[in-house]
Amino acid sequence: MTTLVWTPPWFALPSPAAFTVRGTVDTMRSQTQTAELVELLARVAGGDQTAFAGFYDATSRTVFGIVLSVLRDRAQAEEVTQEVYVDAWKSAPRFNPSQGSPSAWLNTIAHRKAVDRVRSSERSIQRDQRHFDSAVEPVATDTSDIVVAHDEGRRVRDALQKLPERQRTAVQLAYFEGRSHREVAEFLEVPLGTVKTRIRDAMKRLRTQLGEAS
Amino acid sequence: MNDAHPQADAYVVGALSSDEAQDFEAHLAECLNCTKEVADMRDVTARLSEAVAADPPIALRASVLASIAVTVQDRLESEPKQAQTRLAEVTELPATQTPPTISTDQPEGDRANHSSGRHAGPAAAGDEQTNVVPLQRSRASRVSALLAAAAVLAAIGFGGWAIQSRNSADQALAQTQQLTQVLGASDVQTSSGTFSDGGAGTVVRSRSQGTALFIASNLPDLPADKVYEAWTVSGQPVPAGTFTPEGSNTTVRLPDAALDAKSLAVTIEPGGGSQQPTTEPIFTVNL
Repeated sequence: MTTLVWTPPWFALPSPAAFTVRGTVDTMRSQTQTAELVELLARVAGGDQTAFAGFYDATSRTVFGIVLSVLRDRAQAEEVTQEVYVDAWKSAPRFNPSQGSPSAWLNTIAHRKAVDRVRSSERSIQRDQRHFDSAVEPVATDTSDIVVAHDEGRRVRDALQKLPERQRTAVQLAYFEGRSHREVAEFLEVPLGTVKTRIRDAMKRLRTQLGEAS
Repeated sequence: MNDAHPQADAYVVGALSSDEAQDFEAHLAECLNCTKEVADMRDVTARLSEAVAADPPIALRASVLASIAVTVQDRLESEPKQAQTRLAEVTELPATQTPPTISTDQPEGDRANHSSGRHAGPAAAGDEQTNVVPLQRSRASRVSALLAAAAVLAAIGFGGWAIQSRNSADQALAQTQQLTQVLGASDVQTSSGTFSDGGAGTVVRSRSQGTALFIASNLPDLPADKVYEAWTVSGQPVPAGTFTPEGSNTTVRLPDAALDAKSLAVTIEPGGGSQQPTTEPIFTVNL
């Protein structure tokens, strides 16, 4: 398995020059966005369906993106994304902004649901096969989907690119493909402890680079 | 990011098995340090997801909105325990909120599953229905209609369908077809509210189809001499039909006045119904 030429989705992207430069306002933008999302969610918690439509519009690209990244199947990704938003609607009254941002809250639901789906039943076997195929010919995420007017992902992709390759691979397999650390260890043929360390180091670096550490 | 539990990173990226995740959540409940660490790192993972952002299909938006329109939200006051266990719940939400499976006395959706390649769930119910109601629409809007119909059918729980006039399978089918068609209309509007006694109600209407339906779920039974009565309101309340719950879901076809009404109300009236409401509304929704 280690002999596979493995290509993460963001490798298939055009060079950073293809993206609009908007980096300096990134942090401010994300703070404004968080405040807007908190406000929307408060209205959603009161049963406001229009606010929920706004919440969906502001977040659905990221939610669908991560779900698709884990599931690698558009039909399933659509189903799971739908479940994610129904959950978000139902549990919005329980959202507490003092315990995290709306995007972190929603992303946690989305990632967990996608991982649950991919690990359920025999689908993980199919996914392994699919992963094998896609390693030969990477089609994990349609590049044209990513390169749209928005560039919210650029800075994150840059940060991922800057990680040492081994750490990046560990994050890719665990987070973007939803594998357990045991699976990652088997896949890479390294001890479990090594995988844990790589993920830990990667998260530390990403946190610093993305400027979200508090 | 100092003394946090070594499992925290693996937990946040979803790399723990479900058993390990449960153990860690038990630990989280009593470790403030880890709780904070996890909250911080979730901001990072949320940012990571932006790296793979992708446009969902346009039809999904309509489907999601139709689905939440008939989904009752969790209420804090009725669930006092939720606040304490919130952190764990964020990651331990039920595997799916999709509703009751189709009951055994309803048509099976297997065929639709095979032909669409989708998995059991909301889509199955919708596909089943559209097999009997071919909609004359372009492919894109047809898909959108399917998704929306599937979502609503699933969300309201297809199994407990109640038929007002006669309890026959044909009627159930006709009612579902009606709903599917309304939901497929380009000008479909859904408006939802909750009954003061806890049930949920949704008005689904389309002017182009000339159809307005009211779907109520989990209504309590009434004494034999009482009925629920719906009212369309654009000034004075106008009677819009009486009904009694016959299952977990009740569908009422509303008169044409409901297509333009500003709101819909429901009261409890003496058997046979009234010409004017005699009690306070237990349900109102703006349309």
